[in-house]
Amino acid sequence: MDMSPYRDLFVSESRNHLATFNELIVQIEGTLSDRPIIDEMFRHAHSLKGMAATMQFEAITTLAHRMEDLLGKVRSDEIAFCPALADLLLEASDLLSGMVTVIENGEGEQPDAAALIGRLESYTPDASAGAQSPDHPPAVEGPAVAAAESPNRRHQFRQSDSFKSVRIKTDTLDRLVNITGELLTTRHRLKVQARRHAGPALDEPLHQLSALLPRTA
Amino acid sequence: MSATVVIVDDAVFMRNILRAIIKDKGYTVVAEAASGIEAMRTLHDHNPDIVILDIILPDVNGLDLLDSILKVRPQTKVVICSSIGQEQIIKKALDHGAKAFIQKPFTPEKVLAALGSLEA
Repeated sequence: MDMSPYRDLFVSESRNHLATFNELIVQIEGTLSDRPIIDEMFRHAHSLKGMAATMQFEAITTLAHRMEDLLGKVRSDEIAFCPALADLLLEASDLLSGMVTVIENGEGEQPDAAALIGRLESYTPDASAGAQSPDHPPAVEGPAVAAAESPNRRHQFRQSDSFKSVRIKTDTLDRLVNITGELLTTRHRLKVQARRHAGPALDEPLHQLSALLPRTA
Repeated sequence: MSATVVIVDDAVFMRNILRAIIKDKGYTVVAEAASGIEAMRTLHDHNPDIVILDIILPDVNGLDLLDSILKVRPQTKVVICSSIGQEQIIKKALDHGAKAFIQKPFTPEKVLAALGSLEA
C-alpha cells in the first residue's frame, strides 16, 4: 500500500499529539499523581506509536513505544511519576518533534534516537535521580520542598485566597497555558544544552526555572 | 447490498487508512467516530453491520465500549483494532463477543481478511 498520501496527515496529527503530550506534562508536574492525565499521556504515546508503525517509521515507533511502556508502568503503579521522568519524557517528545520535522521537510538525516531509547529502556526512578542530579539537586528534592508542595499546603493557600477572584477571558488563559508549555519545552532545551556545553554555572538558574514553572500550571 | 461499517478510532490518520482499504471492497463506511460517545451516537444513527473498534479511546475503555455496543445492538459484528503486544486485551475482547481482530501495524490484506472472516 502506498503510504505517501498519508504523510502530511501523519505529520499534522503527530504534532497535535506531541503538543498535547507536552501540555499534559506541564499540568502533571504540579501534582505528579493525576491518573487521568497519565492515561491521556499514555494514549497520545500509543497513538503516535501506532501511526508511526503504520507508516513504517521504525525509530519513531520504537521511541514512542518506550514512552508508552514507561507510562504503562506508571499506570500499573510499578513506578511513580516524578520530575526526572517528566524531563526524560519531554526529552523524548522533543526528539520526536525533530524527527517529525525531518519527515515533514522530506530531506535531512533523522537524529539518532538510540541513546535516548536506551535511557528510556533502562529507566528506574533511583538511577534516574542520580543521573539527573544537576537538575534536581538533593537540597531541592528534600523534605522541605516536598512539604511546601504537598496537597495540604496547596489546599490551605486556596482556602485563604478563595474570595480573591478575577474574571479572565478564556483566550487569555489559553495563551498563558500555551506560553507555559513553550517555556517548559525551552527550559528542557536549555537544560540539555547546559549539560553539553555550559557546565554547572547554569545549574542554579535552571533549577529555579524548574521550580517556578510548575506553579504557573 | 454492501455491508455497512462504522470506524471508531481517535486518530483521523488511522480512520482514513482503514476507510481507503475497505471502500470498494464490498463495504460502505457509513460513519466514523473518534470517541466512545461518538461511537454510540453513530451506532444509534446508522445501525451498521460492522464496527471496527480501536481499543484505546479518549473517553472510554474499548472493552467497556464493546460491551455497551453489544448490549444495545447485539447483532453488530465488532472487529477489535489493537497494537501488537496487546494479545491479552484481544483475548478478552473475543471473550466479550468481538468477532475478529486487526493488529496494528496492519496491511490491507490483514484488514480485509479480518472482515472477510465475518462472512464465514
